[in-house]
Parts: sequence; structure tokens; C-alpha cells
Amino acid sequence: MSDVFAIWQEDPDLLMVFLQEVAEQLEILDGNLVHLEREPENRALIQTIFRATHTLKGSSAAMGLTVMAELMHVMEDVLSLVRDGALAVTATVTDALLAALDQLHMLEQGLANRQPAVLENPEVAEVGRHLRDLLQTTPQQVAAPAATAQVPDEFCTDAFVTLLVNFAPDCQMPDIRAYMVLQTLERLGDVAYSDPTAAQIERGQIGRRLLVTVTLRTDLDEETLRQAVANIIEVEWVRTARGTAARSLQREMPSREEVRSVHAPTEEAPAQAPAPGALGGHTVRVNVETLDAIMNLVGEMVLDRTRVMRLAEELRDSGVDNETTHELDTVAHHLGAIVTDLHEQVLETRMLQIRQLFNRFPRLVRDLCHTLGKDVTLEMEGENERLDRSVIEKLVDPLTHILRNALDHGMETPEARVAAGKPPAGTVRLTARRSEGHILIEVQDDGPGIDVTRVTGKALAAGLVTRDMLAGMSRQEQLGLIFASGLSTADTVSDVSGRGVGMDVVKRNVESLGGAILVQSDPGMGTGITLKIPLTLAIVRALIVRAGQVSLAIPLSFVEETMRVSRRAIHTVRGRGLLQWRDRVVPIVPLAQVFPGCGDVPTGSTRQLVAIGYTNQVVCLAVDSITGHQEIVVKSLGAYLGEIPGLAGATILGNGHVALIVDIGNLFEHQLIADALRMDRRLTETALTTNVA
Amino acid sequence: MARILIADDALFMRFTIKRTLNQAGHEVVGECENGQMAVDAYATVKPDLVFMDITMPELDGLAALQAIRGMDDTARVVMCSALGHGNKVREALAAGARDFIVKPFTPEQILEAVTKALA
Repeated sequence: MSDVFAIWQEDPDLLMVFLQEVAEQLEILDGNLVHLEREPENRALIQTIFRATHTLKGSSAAMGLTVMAELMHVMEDVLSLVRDGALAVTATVTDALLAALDQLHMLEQGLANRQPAVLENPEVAEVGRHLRDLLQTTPQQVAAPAATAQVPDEFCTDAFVTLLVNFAPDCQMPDIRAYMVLQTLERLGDVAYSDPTAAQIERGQIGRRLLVTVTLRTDLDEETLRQAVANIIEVEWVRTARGTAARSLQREMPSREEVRSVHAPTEEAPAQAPAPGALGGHTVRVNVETLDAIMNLVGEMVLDRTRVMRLAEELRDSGVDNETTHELDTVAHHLGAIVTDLHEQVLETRMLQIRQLFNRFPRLVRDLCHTLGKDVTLEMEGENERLDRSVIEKLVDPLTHILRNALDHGMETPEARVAAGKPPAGTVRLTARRSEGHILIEVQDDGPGIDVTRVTGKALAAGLVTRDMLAGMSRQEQLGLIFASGLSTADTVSDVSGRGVGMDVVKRNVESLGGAILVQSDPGMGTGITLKIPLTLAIVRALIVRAGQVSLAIPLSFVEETMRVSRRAIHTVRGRGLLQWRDRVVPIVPLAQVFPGCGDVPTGSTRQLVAIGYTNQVVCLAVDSITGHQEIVVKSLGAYLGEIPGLAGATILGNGHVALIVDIGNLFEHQLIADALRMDRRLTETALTTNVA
Repeated sequence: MARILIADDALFMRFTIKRTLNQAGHEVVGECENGQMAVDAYATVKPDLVFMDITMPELDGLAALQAIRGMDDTARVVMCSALGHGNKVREALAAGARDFIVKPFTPEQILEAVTKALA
């Protein structure tokens, strides 16, 4: 093994290219293998999987990675049987292939981290053996059942009885039926021979084989044996023979048509979608770190562009009007246009299709269905939308968690669904779509929906809210409690979704991306969780506002609406401002009160408000004025200032001034806002009625 | 006609099995929501046959099967399994289950199970 690593040290580029290819091919396998079970006759699908496996076999062998090459080899053999219709795609086959895929991921990780030990992991060989067992059962299964199922001559004497057992074509678990046949006959004599072998039957490695031959040494008469086996459910017919008659029994055997398999023509199906990287000469591989560095530099340039344009403007406005200022104006605008294009192009290079994020989920759902005993179809849409690669990476955990929750808590068992008049199989839709500089990712299930009274009950019990607070909350806000830390509505803790340390972590992850999360659920209508994610992390679109002497930037993802309202439209209850906004009453909080350094709270006949939406809650921030909106590059406040509650960092504006970036999640935990949201709804409503009267 | 005990935590499943059995003239001598209830009921009503769900709260179908077979090694128990629970079914068969049926099952399959298990 160490030799391999020595070569790599001499030729690191080779390693990089190899790992890149492994990653690409694994992505293809991740995205397609899990569909094979549902679409076993999809030739193009099998061909795609086969091709990826074949590619990996070749390149791993070329790298001298024998362990990996051998695994790929046996995988390829299994797939070629599937392709030729000689092996049916059973759950056993899919499980074995997916186990191999898991090992490949481990190998890839190990190799990327230069851990030679990964090549000595015994599980790789174990998985390979499992696949090889599938190969051994198949030639008997389809290729030539009559020839290979011959009872050996030594068992064609009067001491032995041979039984030929056939299961009904719609038999659900024929492998376990075969196990029952074997088990039954073992009680009635000494089993001397069977096809498939006893070991294969006991290990469940016979796939959907419907025909089983068993020969046993026994004194019991044929009819007793026949009756015993015929009494097993889903046994369609049993034939028996003692002694040499067993040979003719074999000849009578109804063979191929009773063995269910995918028999398809052997010619190669034309390739469907070209594999990524098939552009060959037109692409070049670039290190991710290089892209990150370029992105940072362009980010700085975007800021300077805004400043240069602003300076040119100021110069012109100050009355200096000569050829130089005209020239500067032209150059500034040209530079601005170029930087904008450059920015877009660089963003483009960092974009990955959401497909790369979504691809892992069909497998997750399949495995969870097995674990939870549920039947759920995952539908995906919008996989072609693109997101910054760093954003994609950071969405894996939150989305995994949301899907787990959806299947574990948000989906009934098939029986419960049927009882509720729904189809037994549930549906979870995972969609991505673009909306104003953001990607909206939605996970919608058709389960029973969230029981709000249970959520509030648990929240009360956990001491997260008081009865008064609950009374003051809208249904939406109460639903939002699922994001509160320490809340779990599940009565039993399961392996799958754990104990209530979930959704609050999901919320925090999404917020760290500058994104927002929202839940919608109506009884009987299922549950929808929506993530609003900025397209890229490095640059955030923000609303720039002034509060007193200070400029503040509010990430646009959280801004619901900006409005100027007359003071008369604002109701005051116990010193707090309230506004009737859309279908609810929302508190008004002056930003200058949250950040006392800003100076005085504005006065005047109208107020400038910014409605902020955050996990099902809305607050109106009162500001002095709105300066505009622009792309900002987030800079930390640095060690000197440290962390200031409610602030995420700072940015430089076009005019060269510094704006502080508001951390919305943190802001909603601020005492002033928390208090405002806790206002008693009944009091609010009374106040509004009296004001109107 | 047989005296049959049904153990399944899902009301819907108990209802379907019971209706099928009643229509065919069998007597359902008890319905249990969990494995423990099934074990207790078996001791008192001594049914001819038990339909036992595999996944149940308190005591699962496998443990209940073992308990019942421990009391009465002639007990006839047919396991009701969801697709994909092959290993559990194997264990149950090894532990003395008479047979198994796979959900969702048809009335015919339920009645075939009764006929064959009592043969």
C-alpha cells in the first residue's frame, strides 16, 4: 500500500484527477443506484450505473488500488447480470450494491485524507464477498435451471425423496418461503441436497426465486411430505418423487417461464445523459481553494467599485466639471460594469447544481422507510437550480434532519394512512426554486400535519412559554415553537430523529447561511418546511437603514416589507407600539432602542418601518430612514470589538462609511423584542377595538 | 370453525382481519393492542390460532411469540409482517411461528393462512 502513496507523493496531480473522477462517478452511482429497485427494467439506468462502475474499475486498477479494483470488478459482474436480465433486482441485490457504494465512499474519504489504512479495511472484502454470493446463485436461477438443478445420482435411491416446490408468482418474500420449506423438511428427515443450497437459503441470498428443489433421506411417505410443504402459505404446487424417479421429476420441471426475471435483449442501450466531465477538452479542473480566493478578491472589488462610482459622483456634484472628471465618470461606470460581470462569472464557477445536494436523499428515504416500516415516495423538483458550493455543503445536515423528521414524525404508517382514507404510500416533495436572489427549498409531506396543541402543550411542559404568552401568539407563531431549543413532540425517542435537539439546530444552521426557515402545517394537509437561502455566502444582499447616527445593514432574506405609516395608524398599549399588518397585529420596536448607541428615537408625523419575518414571527423595526439596498461583503467585527449582541459584523458601504450588519436571529432574542412579542393578544385586541371606537 | 386471537397495535388491521374471519364463520376470541396483552389473553382464552403483528409496543410480536410458545409448545401463531422485515420473520419462524403473511394482505390470504395453519 505504501508504494501507492509513494507514487502519489511524486505525482500529486494524478491523485487529484483520480479523486475527482471517483467523486464524479460516485455521484452518478449515488443518484441512480437507489432507483434501480423501482425501475429494474430501465435499460438506460442500468447502463449509466454499469458505465460508472466500469470507469471506476479501470481507474482504480490503473492507480494500483487492488482492493478497490476488485470490489468494482465484482460490482460490475453483478450489474452485467442485471443488465442481461439474468439477475432480478431484489432488495437483497440493491442492499448489497448500496453497501458496496458505502464502502466506496469510505475508500474515497480515506484516500482523500491520505490514510493508507482505509485500504486494509476488512469490510471492503466482506461487501465484495456478499456481492460474489449473488453471482453464485444466479446461473442456476435463470441461465440453465434444468441442467444445474439435477439431483446428484447418489441421492436418487429409495432412501431419498425429492420435492420440487413452486411458490405463487405474487408471493411477497419467496426467499423466506424457501426457508420455511427447508425448515419444515429438516424436521421430517435429513436434508441431503437442495437447490439453492441450504446456506444460500438460510442467508437469504436467493433473490426472487420461485422454484426450490430439496432432497431428503426419510422413511415418511411422499404424501405426508407433500402435505407438510403444501400447508405453507403461498406454496402453489409441490411435486414429489422417491428414488430414481427424481430424475424424471427434474425433466418435468417447468423452468424458465416460472422463474421470474427481467429478460431483455442483450444489445447495448445508447447512452442517455452524458456523464459529467464528458466535455473532455473543454473543461479544466480547478482547486476549490483557488476559487475561494478569487471569490474573496472579487468581493473586495465589488466594494471598491461602489466606492469609485460614488467618488466620481461626488466630484461631479461638488461642481468640479472638467475633462478629467468626465473621463473619471466614464471609466468608473465602465469599471462598474466589468466588475459586475466578473462577479457574476466568478459566482458561476462556484455554482453547483442542487442535484448534487438532492442526490443523496432518495437513498436516505429508502433506508429510513426500511427502518421505520413506512412507505414513502420522494419526489424531487428543481434539481437543475444552482447554488454556491459552500452553501450546498452546509445544507446537507439541515435537509437530512428535516427529511428524517418528515418520515419519522410527519408520516403515518401505511396502515394508519389507509385507515385515514389516504393511499398507503406517503409522498414527500423536495423542491428547489429561485426567487429574488434566493433559493427556496421546500420539504412538503402529505402526512397528518403538526398538531399545534401538542406543540404548545410540550412547550408549556418544558417551560419554554407561559399560558399568557401562548394566548398572545398566533397559530403561525405557535407552530414556530418547533424551532425552540429543547422541544420534542414525539412521545417516544427514536433512533431516527432523536430527542428534540433537532429543529433548533436546523434553524441555527440555516441562519448561519444568512437564510430563513418557515413552517406551515394545517391538520390533514401535511407539513411544509421552507428554507430561504441566499445564492452565495460571500456576498449578501442587504437593506441599508439609518438609525440615529448609525448605518445598519439588514439581510434582505428577512425583510418582509418596508413602509412609511402615519403615527395615527400606530396603536400604543402600555407604552409599546402596535401595528395592524396584513392579517395580524405586530409590535413596533425602534431600532435605536435596541442599539442605544444610535441616539434618539425618531419623532415626526410618520414613521419608517421595516417588517422583519423570522421563524413565523414578525416585528416592525422603526428606523430613521432607508438608504437603499446593496450587496455587502460580511466582515467580522474583529477581536478588538468582539461579539456584540444583535450584530453579525460590519461592511463598508459605497460612500466609504461602515455599516453594522444586524444579526436577525440574535436580535429576536433581544429582551426588548422578546418582550414585545410576548404582549398579551387579548389586551392588544381590546386596545385596537377601543382605538377604532 | 376456529377460535382466533388477533394482536396488532393498528386498529385498522385488527378490524380488517376480524371482519374477514367473522365473514368466514370464525370466532375472534380477543383483540390485543400489544404483545403483553396477547400473552395474557392467550393464557386465558387458549385460542386455536393467533395472528401476531411483528412491530408492536410494550412487547413486540417476536417476544410475545416466544412467551406464548413457552407456555404452550403447540401454540399456532401466524406472524403479520410488513415488507422488508424478512429478518424478523426468519427469527419468528425459527422461534416456532407456524407461518407468516405479508401486509397488505387480501381476505383470501388471511383465510388461506387459517386453513393451512390449522390443517
